[in-house]
This record gives sequence, C-alpha cells and structure tokens, in this order.
Amino acid sequence: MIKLRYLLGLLMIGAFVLGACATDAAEAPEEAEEAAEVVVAVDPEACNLAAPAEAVEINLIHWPFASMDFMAAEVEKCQEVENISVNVQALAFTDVVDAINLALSTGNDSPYDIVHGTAAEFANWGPQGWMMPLDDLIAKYGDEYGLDDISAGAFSGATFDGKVYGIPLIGDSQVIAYRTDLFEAAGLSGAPTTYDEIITACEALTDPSLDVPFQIDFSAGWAQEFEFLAALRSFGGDYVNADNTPTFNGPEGVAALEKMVAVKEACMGDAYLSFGYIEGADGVSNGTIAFASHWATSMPGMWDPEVTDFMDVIAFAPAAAANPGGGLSGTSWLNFFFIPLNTQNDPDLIFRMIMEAADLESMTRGASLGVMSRSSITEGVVPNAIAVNTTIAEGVGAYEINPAIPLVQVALGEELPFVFGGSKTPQEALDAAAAAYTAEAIAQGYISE
Amino acid sequence: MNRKTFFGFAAPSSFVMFVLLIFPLVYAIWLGTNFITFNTINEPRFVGLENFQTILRDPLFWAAMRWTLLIIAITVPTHLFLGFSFALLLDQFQGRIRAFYMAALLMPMIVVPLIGMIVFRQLFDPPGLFAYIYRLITGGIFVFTPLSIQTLIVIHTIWIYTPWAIVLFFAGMQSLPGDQIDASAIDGASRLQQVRHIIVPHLRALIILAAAIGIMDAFRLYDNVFALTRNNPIFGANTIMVFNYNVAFSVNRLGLANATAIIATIAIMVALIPFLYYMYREQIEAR
Repeated sequence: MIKLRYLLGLLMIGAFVLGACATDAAEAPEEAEEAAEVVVAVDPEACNLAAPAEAVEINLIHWPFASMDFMAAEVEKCQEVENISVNVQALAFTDVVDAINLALSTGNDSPYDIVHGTAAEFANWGPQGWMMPLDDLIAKYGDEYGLDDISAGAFSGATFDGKVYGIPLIGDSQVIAYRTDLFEAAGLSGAPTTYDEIITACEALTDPSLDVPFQIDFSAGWAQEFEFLAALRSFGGDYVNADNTPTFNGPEGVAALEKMVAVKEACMGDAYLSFGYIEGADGVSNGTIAFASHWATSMPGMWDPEVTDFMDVIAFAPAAAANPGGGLSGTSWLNFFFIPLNTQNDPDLIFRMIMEAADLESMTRGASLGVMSRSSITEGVVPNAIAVNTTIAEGVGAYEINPAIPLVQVALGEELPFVFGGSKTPQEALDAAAAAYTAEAIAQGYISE
Repeated sequence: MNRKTFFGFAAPSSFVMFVLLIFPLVYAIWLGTNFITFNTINEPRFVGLENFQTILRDPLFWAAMRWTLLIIAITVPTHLFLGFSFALLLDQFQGRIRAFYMAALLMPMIVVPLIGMIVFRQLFDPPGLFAYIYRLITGGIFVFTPLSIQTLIVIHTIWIYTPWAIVLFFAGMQSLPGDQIDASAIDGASRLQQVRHIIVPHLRALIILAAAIGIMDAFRLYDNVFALTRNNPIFGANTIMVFNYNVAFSVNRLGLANATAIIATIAIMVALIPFLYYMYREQIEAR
C-alpha cells in the first residue's frame, strides 16, 4: 500500500510537469507568430536583428581567451531575439580543431554554424572546401557594417583561391612584456630587440625573487614549433618548397634552433618545461618573471589591477628577432569566425549574427580585451596593441595556407623537444622531422613520389 | 526451456551486443585495412594489412606499449593492495566513523579524472603548493623531468583507482561469515593469519575481478596523461591511448588509428587471458 502511494505521487508529479511543459509548448507558437512581426529597436549593445519567422538554433564553437569570449558573448546576445537560440561551446584549442575535423570531414550537415579559427587551421579547412565563401555577404552588408575598416591584409589569412571565407576579429602575435623597474635596476636600456639581447638581459637580471628572468614557451613540442617557425623565417628560411618538399632542415633551420636553445640555456635552464604561456603570463603578473615573450591575447592579466600589483611597471614591446637584421620573430595571427559550408541554417542570418560581434560598436567595447581587427579603433585599446601591430607588420607573417603544413607541424613537434632536452643535435632532429614529414606527405599525396 | 524460448529471451540482449560491440569491432577492423584521413574520409583506399605493419614497425608504438605495461605492473598491484588494506581498516569501524572514513576515501572517485590531473599538475607548477614547499626546502624551482612526470602519472593513477578497490573489497568482506573469524580467534590465529587463511581466500574471486578491471582501466589511460604531459614527447610518458590519439588527430591517419586500436584491443585480451581462464575454471568447479 505504501509503495502504491509513492507510485501514485510520482505519477501526479509527472503529470503536473508534463502539463506545465505542454502549456508552454502550446503557447510558444503564438508568441513566435507575434515576435515575427516585431522589429527589434536599434540598441548598440543589443542584438539588432529582426526575429526570424521560425525558430533557429545557432551553434558556435571557439577556444576561450578574454577577447574571444567577448566576441562569442556578443553573438550569444542574439538569444534575446525571439526564435533565436544560441549555443556556445568553449573548448580547449585542440578539442575545437578535433571537433571541427570530425564534424566537417564527412561532408554531412554541419553541427556548427559559426566556427572560430585562425589562418593555421584555415590552411587545412580552406583547400578542403569545408567553409563557406563570404564574398557575396560581404558585398551585401559591407557598407552597413563598415567592413572596409578591416584591411585586406587582415582578410588574407582567410582567403583561398581569391575568395574570402572568414571575418577577422582579433589580432594576435608574440610580444614581449617586461618589468621596466627591474630592467632599470639591472642597467638595461629597454626591451630587447634580438635574441642575443634577450640572452644579455637574462645574464643581467639576477634578482633572487625571480623564478627565471625570462620566459618563452618551450614547454611542449607544439609550442616549440610555433616559435621555431618565427625564428626560422627570421633567418630567411621556411617550411616547404613550392612542391612541398621540406626546407626547414637547412642551415637556416639549424641556426634558428641553435639560437632558441641558447635562449633556453641562458634564461630558463631545466625549468623551461615548467613554464608554458599561462605560467609565463602569471609569472610576469605576480612578479616572479622579469620579462616574457608570448601571445598578446594571454596578457590581459598584466593590466588588470585585480590580477597584478605591477601593472604600472609592466610595459610591452614587439617580439625580438632571432636573427639580428631579420624579421621580428613573431607570427601573424588573426582570429576569424567562419561559416561551415554545410550549415543547415540561413547563412544570411548567421552572417548578420557574426556582424553583431564584428561591428564597430562591439569592437570598440572589446578593445580593452584584445587587439581588434578594425583599424579605426585607436582609443581605449589594450596596452600591448602597438606592440602587437608592430610585430604583425614587421614580423615573419602568417602560416602558409597549405594542407601539408599541419604534417610539418606534427613532425617538428615530435622532434624539437629532443633538441631542447639535449639528446639530439638540431641537424639530427630536423633531418628526422624532414624524413617523417616527407614519408607522411607522400602517403597523403602532398608530395609526388 | 526449449530452444525457441531460449532464443526469444536471448534475442534482445544479443541484438544490443551486436550493435554496440560486434558491429563496431568488425567495422573498426575493416577501417584499419583502409587508408583514410580526414581529407579523404569519403574515399577510403583498401591497403590490406599495411596499416597494421606500419604500426608494428613504429618505435613510438612500442615505447608507448612498454610504458603502458609498466604502468599496469606498478599501479594494479599497488591499488589492489591499498584497496584491500583500507577495506580491512574500514571493516574495524562502525557507525558514523566508518561512514566518515568511507566518504573521505571515496572522494577520488567523485573527481573527474581530467580535472583532478589538471589540479594535480598545478600543485607542481611554479605557483603551486608543492612547488612552493619544494622551493622552501631546496631553494630551487621544481622541474618537470621524465622521471618526475612518470612518477606523478603513477601516483595519480593509483589515487584514482584505489577507491574502486576499497568499495569492492569492503563489500566482499561484509559477506564473510563472522563465526569463521571468531572460531579462528578461539583457535589462536593471529590477525595476519586470519587475513591470509580466511579473508583473502574468501575474496579471491573479487581480487581476480579487480585485477582484470584494473588492467583494462590502466590500458585506457589517456586524459590524465595528456593533461600532465601536455603531449610533450620528451617525457616518454605517452601511453598507448595517447599514441592512438596522436595518430588519429595529429597525423590525421584514421585508418592507422583504427589499426592501432585493434592491436591495443588484442594486447588487452592477451593480458586478460590468465584472469579469464581462472574465472572460467572457478565456474566449472562451482558446477
């Protein structure tokens, strides 16, 4: 009898819940019909879109950092519009790339409508035809959203075969953050401009409160690969020839690696494995590292008084050059929003939702978090904006849009750590990486046998 | 029961097993015989056993296999021993004290392994607690080396799998007749003799089961290893599953990754043969 009472009670609760849900569902179509006729008033901080006639669900995927989180939030505001729901997935970088590869490689309906990526990822996505060309939409809405405020160079990282596939949002590059007070105390005149000057600065900065004088991310193979490209190009080298045969194991590659190892030995020693870019940014913020070179987008804590006590004595400078007289050892990164070719939603609506993040008003508000792609934004910008833009302008450029490049990255990521660990010489490691890359590139058809 | 009735009852579970186990296994074997990448996923090219040969010739595969087997050899006996010991101690308590200690010992099971490893690593990162203590004692920075990384992986693996052994053995001890213990005490048996001659034999089947599951879990180690090593090959700490991930998502060779998964499955089955044979013998003797 007691069990029967419990069962009846559960059934009543279930019926009540179902009834409430059914009531909501019954009311929803009427509300949707009403909403379709309402045009949202123009509010700079709201989503200024007319409600679609039918309910749509927009899925956005990105990897998180402060300025990108802001961009995603600007798109997510469109949930306030009737019939629009936005799902934002913020995953780690490698998880985003894996998820997109898995979702788009089959050519089936895309589970994502807005995808975050940089030129490095587009190097694979673009030639595979996974993303939607946006030229028509840019032509249609360019005047309304002032897209000529974004330079052609910014769009180039998402351009393939003459077509533009992505909207550039946030610029990034390697820059140097340094403590002006510690540099002055050590008799250093300013931020180093070459890797040799970095080594000199490390030898001069002997404050015992420092964990290490300088940090650059050599903590993992993929991080070393990023820095290796920047150093390699500073020495005039590059990854592959026009026929995709490797060139990174030439004398320029060896010189670049030797210089990187010299920096590691002089500045971090064996502790280099403990300092990734997050630990490096934290170290500068909490005063245990004197200067560091890494991604500008990882530095917001350095001018946030709630994070650091040293914001008044932290300054920023462009990336140093591995080769004196060569390009600055900073690669050019722009973060884009792409629309997958096989999205099941209206590309026009999706594009306009992206514009809600890329419009001048949103980027002006977001300028305190990262370097925005609009050149007209000059006030209220992040403290490292000039350093970022200088590195982008005078640095070694972006990754080549070539689907063979990810194979180079993998091969280098497997071998470079052993150079830093001391078990292989630069030439041995680069030759091994070249052999592994060549074998895989031949197998996947990027190099002719 | 006649044959028709038997098949009628067995059909639903057989269907589920086919869909969830047999079909994916056969399909994975077929995928392993094809050259497939993310860029050619709709155009697989049959290559026979080439993928399997490539993997078996890869020194990185054998390095990952050796390290995985070493993890199994260290962590499985250790977490079984610790689980048994803690279960014995728990069995001595009653009431709320037992509940308190049980909750405390089972905490690692509640923590998501990946989150636990990230927090674990942060303890040893430069601003971390253990790194701070290390600096106080030695005056230097705690440095990640292959040995320290591998040691942390072993410690973390033991930490996350010991609670499962505690639960299993504690439950088994509750079914032990108390009069056997009492009788042995009257006969003058020491506690160690009781454990050796009464409790362990009673729990033998559970020990075998826990060992088999522990081996399978250790073979599947991935997220905590990945979080701790950040996929840096210099630590020599890539397990077979991390190697499999790299083949699939770094080199983008899906056919090769399937071949790796099949080989790893065969390796697990080989490792479990003694345990499965023992369980089979137990069932035959029980009849």
